[in-house]
Amino acid sequence: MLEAEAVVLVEPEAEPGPARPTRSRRAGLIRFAWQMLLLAVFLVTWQMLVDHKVLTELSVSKPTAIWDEMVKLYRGGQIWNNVGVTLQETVVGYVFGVVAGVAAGFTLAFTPRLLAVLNPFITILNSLPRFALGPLFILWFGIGLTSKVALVFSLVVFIVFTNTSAGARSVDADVVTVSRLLGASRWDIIRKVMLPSTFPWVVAGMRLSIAYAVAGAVVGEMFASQEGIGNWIVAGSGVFNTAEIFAGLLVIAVIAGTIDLLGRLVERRVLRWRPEVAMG
Amino acid sequence: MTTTTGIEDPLSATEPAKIAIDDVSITFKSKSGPDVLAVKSVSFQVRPGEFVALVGPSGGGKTTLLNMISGLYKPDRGRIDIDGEKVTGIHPGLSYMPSRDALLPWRTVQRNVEYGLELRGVGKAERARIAAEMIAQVGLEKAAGRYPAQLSSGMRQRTAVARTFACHPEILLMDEPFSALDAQTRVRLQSLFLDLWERNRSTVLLVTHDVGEALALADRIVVLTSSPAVVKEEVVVDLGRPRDLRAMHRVPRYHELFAQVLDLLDDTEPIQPASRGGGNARS
Ligand SMILES: Nc1ncnc2c1ncn2[C@@H]1O[C@H](COP(=O)(O)OP(=O)(O)O)[C@@H](O)[C@H]1O
Ligand SMILES: [Mg+2]
Repeated sequence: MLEAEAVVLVEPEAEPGPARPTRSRRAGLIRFAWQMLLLAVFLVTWQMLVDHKVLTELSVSKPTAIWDEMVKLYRGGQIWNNVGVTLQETVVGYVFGVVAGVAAGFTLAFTPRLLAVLNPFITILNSLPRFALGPLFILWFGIGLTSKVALVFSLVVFIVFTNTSAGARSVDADVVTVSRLLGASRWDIIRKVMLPSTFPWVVAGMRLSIAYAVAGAVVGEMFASQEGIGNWIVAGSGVFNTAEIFAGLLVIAVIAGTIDLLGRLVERRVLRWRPEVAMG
Repeated sequence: MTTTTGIEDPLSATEPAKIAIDDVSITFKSKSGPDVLAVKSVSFQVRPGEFVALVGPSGGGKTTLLNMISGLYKPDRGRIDIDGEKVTGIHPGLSYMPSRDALLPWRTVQRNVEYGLELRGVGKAERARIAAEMIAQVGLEKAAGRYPAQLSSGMRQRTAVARTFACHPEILLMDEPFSALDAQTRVRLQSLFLDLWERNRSTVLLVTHDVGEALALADRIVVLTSSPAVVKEEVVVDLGRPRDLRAMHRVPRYHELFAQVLDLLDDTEPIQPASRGGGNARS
């Protein structure tokens, strides 16, 4: 037994402190200011080029027209309905895709023989441009919600699967050895080593697939639908209402951006221990 | 998997050897290229509480030998006994320290030190207490809440030392545990380790390619030849204890022993450019 007399046996070593420089906050503000400036210059140039007929409004619209269109859509109330439908397709497909991708990734990482058998099929499916499956899904599941959910799912599941199985196979062998010698059971190894060490890979896959999920829902709506942002863009295109198309694109950008930001916040929170996060 | 012989009997003093390695050989079958005879007819013993260093050229089968003692590999020939019982699986009284710290990056220092205790079913409050005590002994109180990514390599290895000792291992297998550290940090950790060991007195088998480290720490040095590993000679390190690692170089006997071990190692190494990664039996 080691006695309680806790003697410090070493002189303190030069410590790389968590000294988070206050400078980084200011640098962030300055960067943000530059970004806003760049955006303003872009919008003003765009507006002026169209106002002075260098570019035609029919092909590129213009910021003020897009703004008016947004206001109109907002007042008319269609915006929420369309956004709601697209969001619903995105979220449902995404959740199913993540769950299935993680489950398949882990299962195949623990059954290398099954993985070896399935590998060529997975590669073929994965290299198939999945957006091209859209028409097939419409055929199978109709023009409603289900076909879009299927398209989102098919996009998300592969990204998450690939990341999960890569993560599960890249577990540090030394950590596994030390754990086993410290008395870890098979289940301990899975729960205390494999799962947490695969977790960042899963999170990375989840973040990467957000953009694909939104795109899948919108593109699915473009193939055939009665509502949703994709439908709205196609409708705008049909009547040469360029401002409406741009308004749709803007809403998509805001949605994707917001979800990604949320994802990043969650990631920072759950991956506090990662070198790049821990060091700031 | 745990051994079925896991019930320890610390009172059976009739058996003098803690670890007995008797005529052990192992060959790795290789799909590409010839099979590798990594360890050939190695025999030596480690007494309870003894600190033995194992030196030999790299790729010489030292890690393989540790893996057999810890029960991860099964020897093809010969047998290994711990406390007079044949090793058939992972021994519960044994701890292992690899050269990389092998900490869990998602756990703080505190929770890393608790890890071994947690795996052995020690209750939450008890393991927190033991871990805090160990962390204090390695001088990391201020860093207890930090993650490995926020530590220097010396601090990480101190965490690993604390984790190892927290379990009060009867046997400690160490595979070049300080080799990845810079010279100054290494001496500091060696002293720290020696101090902790003096209080705990587990049986230690330390693999190292650093002759100075072997002399500084061990009671006895087992010199292995290059692959396959065969015991070349055993050198008793009669330098007394406790030792002041920083003053070692002033002891004439230290230099004599150093020269002796170096000569032994020189003989073992074939005269050719040192090849890395082993498997260099013939080329
Ligand atoms: N799991 C293994 N499979 C195949 N060959 C191995 C394995 N472990 C070690 N070897 C081979 O055995 C020899 C001894 O390796 P090792 O025990 O790591 O030497 P050391 O630790 O002394 O540097 C080397 O030639 C190495 O390539
Ligand atoms: Mg080795």
